[in-house]
Amino acid sequence: MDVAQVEPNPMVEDNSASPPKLGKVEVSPNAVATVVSHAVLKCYGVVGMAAHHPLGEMLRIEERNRGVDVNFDSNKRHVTIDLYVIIEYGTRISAVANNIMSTVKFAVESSLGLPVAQVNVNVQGIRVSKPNEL
Amino acid sequence: MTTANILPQSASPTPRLPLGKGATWDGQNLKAGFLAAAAWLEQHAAALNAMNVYPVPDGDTGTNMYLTLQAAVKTVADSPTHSAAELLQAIARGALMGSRGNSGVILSQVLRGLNEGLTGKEQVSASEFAVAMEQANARAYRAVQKPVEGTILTAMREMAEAAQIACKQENSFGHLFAEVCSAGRASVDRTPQLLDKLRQAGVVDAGAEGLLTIFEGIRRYAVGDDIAARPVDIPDTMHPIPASADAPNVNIELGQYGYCTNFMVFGQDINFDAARDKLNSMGDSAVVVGDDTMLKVHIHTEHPGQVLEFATSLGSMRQIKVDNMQDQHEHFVDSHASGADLTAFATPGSTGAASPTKTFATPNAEQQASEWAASSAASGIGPGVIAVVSGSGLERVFRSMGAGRIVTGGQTMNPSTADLLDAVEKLPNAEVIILPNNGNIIMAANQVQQLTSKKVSVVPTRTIPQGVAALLAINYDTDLDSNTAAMKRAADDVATGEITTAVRDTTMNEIDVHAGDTIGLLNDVLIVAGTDREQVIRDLISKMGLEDREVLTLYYGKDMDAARVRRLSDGISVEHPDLVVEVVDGGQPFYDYIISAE
Repeated sequence: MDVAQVEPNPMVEDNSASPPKLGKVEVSPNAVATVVSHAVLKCYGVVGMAAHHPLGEMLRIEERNRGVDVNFDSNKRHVTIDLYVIIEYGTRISAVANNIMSTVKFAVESSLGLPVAQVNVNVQGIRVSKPNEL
Repeated sequence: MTTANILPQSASPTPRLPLGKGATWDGQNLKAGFLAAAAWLEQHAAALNAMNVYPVPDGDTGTNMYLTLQAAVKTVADSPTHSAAELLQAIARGALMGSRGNSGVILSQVLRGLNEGLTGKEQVSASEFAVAMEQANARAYRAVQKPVEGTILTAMREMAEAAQIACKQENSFGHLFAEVCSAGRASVDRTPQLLDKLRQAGVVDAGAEGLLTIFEGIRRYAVGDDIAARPVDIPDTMHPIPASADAPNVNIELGQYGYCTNFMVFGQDINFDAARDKLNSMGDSAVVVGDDTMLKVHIHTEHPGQVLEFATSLGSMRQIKVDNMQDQHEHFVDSHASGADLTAFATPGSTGAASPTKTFATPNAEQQASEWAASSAASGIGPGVIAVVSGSGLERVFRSMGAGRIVTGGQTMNPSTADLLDAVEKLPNAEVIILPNNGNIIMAANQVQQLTSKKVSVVPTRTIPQGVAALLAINYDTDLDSNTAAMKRAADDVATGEITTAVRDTTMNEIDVHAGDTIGLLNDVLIVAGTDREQVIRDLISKMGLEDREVLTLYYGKDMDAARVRRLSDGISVEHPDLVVEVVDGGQPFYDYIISAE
């Protein structure tokens, strides 16, 4: 499986004395996706994630990290994240999407130390809820 | 832009807004209530920014909430409607269209819920408003899959609960909002117990505090308490001025678009003052710099044709650029405005709205002039330098020493990797050196290296004096790596002292600090604290190892008074006769003094 090597850790901005290197840390896309998924569902305005692959829905694969695609670039130095989300009707989509980007970037960079190059938000649906359903 | 006509105290033709002490409120009462809330929130926006740590510690919650509420009240500022429902509908719509950031989106949902709860009502009583608050609470929770407690949502819920109880005790707005605000205070104070990130940072949730601030503003209106009479509009001074003609889109007006028009005019014997006054009258956000042979003009106008027509009467035009700001708005408001508006909120009220254009014409003329100088010097030969700085004086310092681009930022307002990348791409140079000048920005700067085809190196400067020292060490005849190494050495040689005010109680390095104390940091480490500012400054300087130093530079902040700074520097000169003491107007926010010893 494609994995990212977390090294050097960009959260440690120490340019002088790096700790002695004992081994390497690898992070799989699934692990990144789980972190992302948790962060996204707490973002205000997001009411769900959408499976973006028809087979994914049918075969019930990727159930846990539905709606999250994680890709490492060729030299595995940074990560691109594609999200497929459902947003509440009556929120400003651009504002919600920008919140998602910064929250996801912050979550991944602070917990995994992986630099995030891009967070692409695909709005797959809008949920409308009437006042009397609240 | 019309700041005057949405002020209750103004002498505009609109009648005075009604008092809020009646048993029921109509549209005009609600309007006055929300105007009060916006004015109150504006005064607290900077404080809210300072406590913003969740979900992303980017220090913009206060700004975002204020801009959202401001967009909402702006839509009703001139509204004569007496219908409560109509007024709230307009407010909810304005908030939706203007919502910014996480807290702004939630606020827009709260206002939407209030609107839904009062549909069809011409007049509302306190108990009807309380019911609508329950609806607002439901709306707020409805729009998120996994609500996080200890945030604005918690505060909304507990304030709505208090409202239900309050309106059964006494059906008056004064009582309702008193109870709502006291429950809100308790709720906000509990947020650190609910959310670990807040507890670790020792702050309450900024969004929750912001929502409470809004209800407190309405409460003040309801009982007739004073809110400092201040414009709820953003004075034009608060907007960033485009650094050059190729980046006009950074300057964005909220709510009112038109055409962003930029050009240069070359002529002879131009009456500069008359031309500037005339141009100022033709649009908003006018920046006119130049002299009697050349003008550089930036203006937002509904009638670019008239502006250009006038300009042709002055001389021959170059570099004409007219952009439709409606198109730009969606694109740029989120990406650019937040950092810029933070600068704005760092000076609440200090730049009056009376003559906004005049107050900024002079510094920006200088800024643009030196930008031209810098950009003509940095014509792509050798490394280009990008410095992250906030404060007009410090910007001038960095520009005068050859920084090709300045990215605004620093304490509590970190520029993003995208901002830095944008600056890198805009420089003509193939090699770029970034001076982050803040420990929190080094990481973002490092990331730029991977995102551009240019050769970028980051000199990890953590303070302004380190940045200055690094910039002085640059050698345009050598390669990037040796420059970086030399600049880093130079930066490490400087001792940096910083004087600021503690925003909360804490204990650090075994020093007890109370909110409001003056604190002194030596090379980013807290070493002194106390209530006597002069004493703290003296203690800090005495610990800077001055026996090996020759020059001490005091960069004083935007709130400092020059006479006082002079007394301080004289005092230092007397105590340390071997030292050369220089004083520079840094204009930086947050830090009263930044002190460099080299």
